[in-house]
Parts: sequence; structure tokens; C-alpha cells
Amino acid sequence: MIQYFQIKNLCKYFGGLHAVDNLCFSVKKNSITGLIGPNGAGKTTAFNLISHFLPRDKGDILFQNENLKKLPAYILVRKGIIRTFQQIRLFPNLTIRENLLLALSKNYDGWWTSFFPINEAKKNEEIEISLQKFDLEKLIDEKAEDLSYGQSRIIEILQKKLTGADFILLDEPASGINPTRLLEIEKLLLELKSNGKTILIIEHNMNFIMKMCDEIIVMENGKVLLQDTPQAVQKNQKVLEAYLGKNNK
Amino acid sequence: MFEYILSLLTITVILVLLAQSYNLSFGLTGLLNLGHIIFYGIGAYTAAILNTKFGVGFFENLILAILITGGFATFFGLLCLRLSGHYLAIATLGAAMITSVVANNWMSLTNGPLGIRGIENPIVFGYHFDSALSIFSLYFIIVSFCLFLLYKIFHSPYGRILRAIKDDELAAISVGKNVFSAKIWSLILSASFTGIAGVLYAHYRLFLDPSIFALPEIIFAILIVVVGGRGNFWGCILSVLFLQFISEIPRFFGFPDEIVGATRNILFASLLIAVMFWKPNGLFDKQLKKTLEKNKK
Repeated sequence: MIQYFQIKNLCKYFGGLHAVDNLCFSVKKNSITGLIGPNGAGKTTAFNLISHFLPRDKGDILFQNENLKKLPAYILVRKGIIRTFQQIRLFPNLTIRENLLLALSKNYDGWWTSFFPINEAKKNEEIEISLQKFDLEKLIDEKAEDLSYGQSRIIEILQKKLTGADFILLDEPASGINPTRLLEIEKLLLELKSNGKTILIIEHNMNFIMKMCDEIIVMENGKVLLQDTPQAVQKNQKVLEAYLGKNNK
Repeated sequence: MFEYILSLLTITVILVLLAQSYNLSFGLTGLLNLGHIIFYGIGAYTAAILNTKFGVGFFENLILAILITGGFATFFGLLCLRLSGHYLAIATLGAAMITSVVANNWMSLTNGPLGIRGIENPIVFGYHFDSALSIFSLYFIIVSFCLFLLYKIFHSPYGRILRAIKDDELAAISVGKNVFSAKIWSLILSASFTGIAGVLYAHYRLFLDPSIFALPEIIFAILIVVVGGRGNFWGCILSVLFLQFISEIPRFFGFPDEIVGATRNILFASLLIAVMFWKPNGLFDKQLKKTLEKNKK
């Protein structure tokens, strides 16, 4: 069966360390999938490899029937795979409007657009509508550096949404977020899913992951330990051992 | 006195174009390019050589200088822009030194340290711009047009990408921007406008020697952008006016001619250090913001 997204035998070595070691998993279209595992399991390295921010040593990455060869990372965004980082990476000296406008102009805006700007009014309208849903429209002309952590996280996910990417990789979106903002993030992710997007999330907040995900992939030592439903993962002894140690009862 | 003021204004107008074009790559895009003065020199030498050896006119020189500096910037960019930060600074400074050595030693082309004499004043549609007022007027029109184009670039979606790249290259890539291409274009555009400034300089001074590539010139270009606020369009123009005013102070205090230049360099270098310490966003950052806010209200 052809999967929406699949990685096969993906490897990344840092000297003698096998950060990602023959990693294989697949993600179903229009699902929310969690990628969990103890610290050092290779989750973020896997993200870096998938998003082409790090070159792989071996293995294949297949997206919508296409085997993604070694491409520049920005090309992958245009193909529909986008990511966030553990540390929020907005453009601190740009306003929220500008941060989001950058995402809306999906393809490269050459210098010639200086003299022929395209649909700026329409793009601004779309941004205002997106912000209104989270009561952030008043901050539209504030610099990103002036936002709180939770607000920045929402803007970051909105930015990725506005690129129109189909497959969204989120690296710890719930980390350090207060419960009110967390509910907003959950709402945003469900909205993305209902719009046909597919989401892969790295997260340590187990309540969030169990609540949001259709399926969970557990990683340990650069490999997949288990891929199953949240209920099955919660009960799996190997997973408990990986997180809590073998002697834990 | 009138001639002196016009001469000062003409040089100021040329410097505004030099500074604003440098502001595009260094200020807006954040490319720490210490060799930008190369493009000024290449523009000026293009005009000087073509005019004195082949009789090429002012306007043709402008077009050729844009093409030659643009071409050189492409080569320079492909070579250097894989680097960033301090590495880029050192590499570009090295390139400026190489260009200076070439200009000093390629006697058959540049006449070395003796320089090139006999460059003509601009002649446009048969009209000879040989008076101070006419040259200033012509240059004012040309530079205003270039500033209009630069203003459009600064405030365009492309300008937004350049500011994003200055903030965080990785984040720019993560929203699908071709950072390398945007940086190369920024350098090419910046170099082309600088090339125009070089042509204006050569056709005004009527003499050109390799001192155009000297370190004080590089520092002066950096100083203008830093004082004006990196990426600040209007701040950069105010900065040129401010620095030109400062540079004339030693004359008014009756300093002997032989130490005026050295005094200026000391003043400029001290100002550069002071601004970087106390006003890293430039002298005109807050004042300008407040004015704009008032105007909005």
C-alpha cells in the first residue's frame, strides 16, 4: 500500500554515535501522529533529516509517492513539508503581520516584486482573519520579540499553516505553554486536521500527546520501538521501560 | 563660498547613493561585507578608463558600470556568500585589499598610483555639464531616481525577505525562502547602485587613483550605515548629512590642511566605536520612529 509519508532505513551518524539508526515509519494522511521517546532517542535528528536541515547518511524519505532526494530545505517547504523548531524561530524584529506575510508568499519573492507587489491587500485580510480566531489581531503591528512565549508559539504555528504546507512537523509545541494557550494550540491543530493537513508532533507532554494523536511512534536509541494507537502505547511494557527504566514497577 | 557649498552638496549626494546602496546589503540583509567599496571603485574606474581611453560618454558609462559591477558582484557573491559573519567580513576585506593591489599595479590599465587624469565632465544630449550648479542638479536628479528605486526595494516583499534573513536565516529557509538567491540579488543590486555612485564620482572629480579602495573609505561607508541605523532608509540619508557636517568641522576650526584628513579619520573612527557601544541601532532610530508615529496621529 502506498503511504502518504514514509521513511525507510533512515540513518544518521555523528562519528560513532548512531543518532538515527535504520529508522522506518509511516504517517497516514490527514492524521495527527506523535513522535515520542526519552531524551537522546533521536526524535529531533529525525525531524532535521525529514525536513532536510541535516543531510542523511542513508535511507529514503517518501512523500506523496515521491522519493525525496537530497534537496535544499526551502524546496521541501514548497513541496509541502514544513517544520517548527524546539526554540521558537519567528523573525523578532519583524511585526506579526510581516512574519505572517512571509509565509503567505509561498514562492520566492524576487526583487522584481518591489515594483509589482502581488495581492498584498488580500494577504493582509487573510492574516487578520487568522489572528482574530486567537484574539491576537491587536498585536498585528507589534514586533515578534515583544510577544509572550505562548503567543509566539501560536503565531509560529499560524505562520506554518499560512504557507499552505500539507505536512506539518511540530517540535514540542506544548512545551512551556500555560493551560489556556494549550487549549488554543489544541484547537488550532484540530482545525488544521479538519482542513486536511497531516501533522507529526514531537512532544514530552504525555497528556497532550495522548489526547491529540491518532497514532504514536515511540523511538529509542535512534530506532522505532513501537508504532500504535495512544491506548496501546500507554499499556506497552517496553515503552514504560524505555521511559522509566527496566527495574521500575 | 557658493562653489564650495555646491561641491560639498555634490559629494554629499554621491555619498547618499553609496551609503544607501551599501545599506541594502549590509543594513537590510545583514551581509557583513567589508569589501563593498570595491564596487564603488570598479564603477569609478569603469567610467575613468572607458571615458579617457575610448571616449565613452557619461550615460553609456552608467549603463556599463551597472553591468560590470553587477557581473562582478555575482562572481564575488558566489565566491563569498557561502560564508557568513566574521568569515564573510574577513574574506570581503581581503577582496578589497586585492582590488587595491591590482589598481596600484596594473599600470597599463589603471596607471597605478599616478591615477587617471583627463576624465570629462558629464555630457548629456550634447549639453556639457561643466558648472558646479549644473553638475549638482544632474546628480541630484539621478540620485533621487536611484533612491526612489531603492526605497521601493526596501519596502517591498523582497525587502521583507532580506530583513527576515538578517533576523534568522534558518527561520527564513523554514518558510520556504531561497536565502542564498535572495542574498546574491541583494549584493548585485547593491553593487549596481554603488557602481552608479562610482561613475558619478569619477565624472565629477575628473581624476581617479587607487586611494578610492583605501581602508578609511571602507570605514567611512560602514560608519554611515551604522550611524544611520542598519536597514534604516531615512536614517542613512540623515547620517550622510550629519557626517558631512562633522567632517567639515576641522576646517572651520582652522586646522591646517595637512592634518584635516587625519583629524576626520580620528573623529569618524571614534564615532563608530561610540555608536556601536551606546547606540547599536543607530543615532536616528528613536527620533525617526517618534516622528513617524506623530505623523500617523
